[in-house]
Amino acid sequence: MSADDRSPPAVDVSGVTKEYGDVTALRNLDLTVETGEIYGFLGPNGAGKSTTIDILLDFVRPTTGSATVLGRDVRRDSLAIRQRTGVLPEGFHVYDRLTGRQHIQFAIQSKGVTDDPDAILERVNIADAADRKAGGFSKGMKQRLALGMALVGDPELLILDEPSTGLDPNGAREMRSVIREENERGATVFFSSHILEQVEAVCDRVGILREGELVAEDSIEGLREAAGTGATLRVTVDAVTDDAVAAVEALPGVTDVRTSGTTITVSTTDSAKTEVLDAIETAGASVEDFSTEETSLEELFATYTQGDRR
Amino acid sequence: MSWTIVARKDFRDAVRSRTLWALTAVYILFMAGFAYLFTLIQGTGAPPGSGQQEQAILEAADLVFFLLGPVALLIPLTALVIGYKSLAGEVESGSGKFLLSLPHTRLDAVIGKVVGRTGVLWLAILVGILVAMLVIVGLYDELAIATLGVFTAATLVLGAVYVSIAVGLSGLTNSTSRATVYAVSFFVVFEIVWDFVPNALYYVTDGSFFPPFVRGAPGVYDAPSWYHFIGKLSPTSAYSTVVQDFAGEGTLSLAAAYPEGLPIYLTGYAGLAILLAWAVVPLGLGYWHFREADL
Repeated sequence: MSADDRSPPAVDVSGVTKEYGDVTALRNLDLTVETGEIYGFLGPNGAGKSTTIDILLDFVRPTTGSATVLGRDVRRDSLAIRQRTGVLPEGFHVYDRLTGRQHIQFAIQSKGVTDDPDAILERVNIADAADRKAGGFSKGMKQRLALGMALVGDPELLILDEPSTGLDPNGAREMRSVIREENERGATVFFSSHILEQVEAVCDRVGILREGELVAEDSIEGLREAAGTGATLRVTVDAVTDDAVAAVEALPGVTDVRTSGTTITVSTTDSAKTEVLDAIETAGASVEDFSTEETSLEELFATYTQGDRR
Repeated sequence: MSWTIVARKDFRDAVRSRTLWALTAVYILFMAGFAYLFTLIQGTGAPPGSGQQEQAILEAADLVFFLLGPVALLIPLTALVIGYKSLAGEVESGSGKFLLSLPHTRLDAVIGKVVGRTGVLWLAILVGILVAMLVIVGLYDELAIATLGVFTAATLVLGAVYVSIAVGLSGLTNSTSRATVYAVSFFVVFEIVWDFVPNALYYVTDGSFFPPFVRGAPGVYDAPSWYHFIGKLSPTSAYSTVVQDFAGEGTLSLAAAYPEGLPIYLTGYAGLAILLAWAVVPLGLGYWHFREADL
């Protein structure tokens, strides 16, 4: 499916803040997922990913701001949205006494479609457990069952919250191939994860959420480029001084400076290592040793999600 | 109409659990057990050796009035147990995320829960009464089909009302432990404490706890109308009023206190209206909270 310029984005979050008492889960979040893309929503646990998804499904209501899904307001038209969306929720609980097939049938009846439950169970690889009560399923099987329910009715949009939870590497691979198939069928896929490699393999675009704010949004290629040109410089000095740190921080292209013992670790967007070394020497510290390494995508993710913000 | 899907799912879930079977067993034991018990105690009040013991006529109509008190205890207990976790439990456990990620409104979820769980309770009640009917047909002298019919219908209505109350209470909170507190409190207040409320108010206005009896009608209090009315406000006393008015001889014992005729608000029709209010108000409050709640 090619994204028509005039068709509304599949997901459009604008200026959403969500407060739970004193805790701010989302801070003025803006987020757009275009029709037809696979969007990876990355961030550590507790960053606000599930809260964002809960708002899209009208499970929770934003304190301020608004959001649309498939061009419809999440609060006013939630039913129409959920009719056209397949959801794999996070922290769900199966109906212990209903069988695998009954779960899928419940989704089929709820959506008013005529899918074949067994074909869906086949697709998520739990056909042999169709007649067993879901209460006895393993974590991975429950996850497959929930994915199956999300696939019912060939939804235009799939919202998958941490879909790889409880899956072994093989299961995670199957999950990714289902995501790709659904996308080729024409579905937009919005899925969250706290693990970069799961997103990296399938996503067209990635947004990184941290403490309720979107700190980066780019294509995987864009992120890779940023990672490829960046470098980490580890400098061992006789003694770390505030002057030296300040001098390095002041350099253009330096994104992060951390110190530990007599080591200064500098993240730069370009490999400006002579400037860094010069700045340290000029500030009065003496460089004893140094090494450089290219930043990997994982490190970039870690910088976005763990480092001190500057 | 998506509440029908939720109701069916809920019912199916219950059929597969032990709840339904345990509940049905309880109602069979209770209804049929009382029907049999009644054959043993009926007539024992007659003087021994007078020959009246053997001649006492076993009437199903008398059984119905004998059953009213115990049923008014069993229905609230079982309905609250069936319903108190219905909404709070779905929210707390996370199965509500399945339910509401599918195209159901929160109203569909609430109505579906009430209907599904009422179905479970009705099945248990009906099977219980059916088995009791076998005992009645086998051992009783008079069947009193009309009285049994009114009793059955009113009991089903009370069951539905109490399930609706339970679901409403469940919708008021996202935590099952708080839902438990609400259900227990409701039972204590309206099924135990409520019996004393008219007397407490009577004490405030009149200085004594119990009004005098109506002359010639022991057991019927000669009290202001509000005294009688407040007493009829709890769900189960409204139920008793309905059964006594519509299944009895056509008169309530209370009529003795009103020679010019009972005011409408003390009749079975008022009882029906009170039951209807109980079916709607707590559920409405529960829905109102559930609709606005963050899941």
